[in-house]
Amino acid sequence: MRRVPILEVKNLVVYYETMKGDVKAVDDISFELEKGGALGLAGESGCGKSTVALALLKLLPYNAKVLKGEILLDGKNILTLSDDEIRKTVRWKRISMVPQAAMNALNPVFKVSDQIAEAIILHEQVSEDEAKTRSIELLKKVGIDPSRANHYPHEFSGGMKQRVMIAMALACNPEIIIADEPTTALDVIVQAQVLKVIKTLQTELSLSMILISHDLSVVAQTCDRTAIMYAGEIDEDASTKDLFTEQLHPYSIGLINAFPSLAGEKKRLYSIKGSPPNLLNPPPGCRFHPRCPYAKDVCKAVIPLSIEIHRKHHVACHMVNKDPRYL
Amino acid sequence: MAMSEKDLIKVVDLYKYFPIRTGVLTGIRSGNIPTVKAVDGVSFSIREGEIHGLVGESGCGKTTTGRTILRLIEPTKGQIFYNDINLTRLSKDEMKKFRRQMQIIYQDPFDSLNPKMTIRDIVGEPLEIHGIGSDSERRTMISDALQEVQLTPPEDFLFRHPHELSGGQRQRVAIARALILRPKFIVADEPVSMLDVSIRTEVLNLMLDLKTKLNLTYLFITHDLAIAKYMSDDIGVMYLGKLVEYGDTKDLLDDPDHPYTQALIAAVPVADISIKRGDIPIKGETPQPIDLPKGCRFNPRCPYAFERCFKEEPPLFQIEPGHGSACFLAEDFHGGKVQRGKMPS
Repeated sequence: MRRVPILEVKNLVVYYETMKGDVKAVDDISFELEKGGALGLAGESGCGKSTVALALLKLLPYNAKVLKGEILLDGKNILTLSDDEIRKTVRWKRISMVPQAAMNALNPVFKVSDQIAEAIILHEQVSEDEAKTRSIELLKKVGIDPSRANHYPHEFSGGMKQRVMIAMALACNPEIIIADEPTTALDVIVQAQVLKVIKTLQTELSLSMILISHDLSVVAQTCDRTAIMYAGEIDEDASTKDLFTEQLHPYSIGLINAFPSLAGEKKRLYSIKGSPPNLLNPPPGCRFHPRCPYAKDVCKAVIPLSIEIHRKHHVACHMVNKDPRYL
Repeated sequence: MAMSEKDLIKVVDLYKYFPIRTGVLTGIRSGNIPTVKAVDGVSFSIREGEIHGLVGESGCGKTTTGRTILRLIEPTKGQIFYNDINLTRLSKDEMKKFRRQMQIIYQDPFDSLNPKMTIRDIVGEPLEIHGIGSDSERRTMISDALQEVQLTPPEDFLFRHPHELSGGQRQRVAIARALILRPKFIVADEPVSMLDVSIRTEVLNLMLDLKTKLNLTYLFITHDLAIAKYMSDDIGVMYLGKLVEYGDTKDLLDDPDHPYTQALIAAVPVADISIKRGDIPIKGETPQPIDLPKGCRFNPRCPYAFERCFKEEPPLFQIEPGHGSACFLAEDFHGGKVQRGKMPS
């Protein structure tokens, strides 16, 4: 079955202006999200994954600039829309977000159902009563008993607050949900519970989802496609199955083998030497070359293009792609 | 792995209650000040040369246990033995001498290093405190310590400040500082939880190598079962201030007995898509340690809880040599009364 992409990002470049110069946070990345699909965006801190999320919602801070690229929502470039149009037609209604720190995302002085209702009233022509009824429905969907609808955030535990945030993200029936590290602050059992809620809702409501996480195992268990980011670039993207069984990019290989796993026998973990570059001044050529065990001269000079190696398996590495022009 | 049968550390019935600050009246009215029972009767021992993992979710008391063992926090009750010496009986001065042999590595290398000090001063400070070596001897020792943690060449790091180093390098500095006194026992409190994956592994491998090289014994505290598996010989699982299960790493992870351990293991995501995760059978979240449930403290969330669990608190039952579980079903299981299957899903 050929699925149509609902969201396409093409050659997106986002830099942050700082006193010391431009931080090249996202540099020429492209990917697509299939309708009803779940894409995992994985990488370490500072690799630009949250910047991508913010760019998709046009929520970037004032010092960020989008220098190039297109974000196509159903074929229409949303980067050209004004803030007003984005607010009225895209945010919440078509794309919404589950933020990372749910404990801080709720207003402590309002009841949770009122906070969800507020989002509905702001975006749709509905009465207060109707909005309230809908917010209670939403809470039910994420597994919160309606009797708790009139409680305040401090009466909820961390996992429950994250559920409220998920309910809120669903308030205006969006097609796409961006979950930015939705379980990072949670303990492992609660994390499993919350991920289950997300996964169930995604399937039931046929949502398309981008899940951003530093934890590869969370991505492996939740998403059908995975993209690995490193220093502002996507090194490899493929179906989750391909990526975890036959990853090709040296960074993906390193990252996956650096993860201790509960499954299988204990073996010495691989470690990637060095640390990620400062994006004020990233290395020329392939940004991974200073840490890459396979780096050759060409890697230090030429930025590797992302090439489709197999069907829908893209890799940006000279050594894998073997472009005759460079080798 | 040089692991002897001799216990280096023995913790006997350790308690740490923290009083909660409330209004004066609350205390007078009820006659007692409410406390958080952070560590509530924990006993275990660590063999010489062993890496003993201590796992549990936030607030289970694992960090308090680690710090109380070093008497960085004074225990409310209980005894701690280091090589048969009862640490709880030592005076402050005597304890200070003992600290040369027992050190701690903290979780956050961004907080644990003084930002105003150079790396040389940070690593050398313990030598100064304990009055070890002349200036030139100290210099050699500091260089050696940096080399040991692979911050090479040491000259490049001596005069830098923590903010000039990456997270992984900072944690190495913290390790160098902990090792410079040539301790025998290290409490490592979530030493890699603040680090990114690619850097984390290097620090873990370094700790494993140093353990072999310097014949160290670790208490390795972590919330991450996969890391505990990678590092530890034995694992203890804590829940709300109690040790609920302990055992050899492989036994405990392959065949967990306590329903909490089973749920914890089931909940860990695995980066292997061939493994389908079952349902997490336990509901809800950990209750507040101020207001503990009566009986077994896991009873509100336990799918197996029966009458007895709500009345009595289960002690640790030995299931097989070296593997214990604080669950009444373990007692029956051990006696062959109940054949408990897998968790219902």
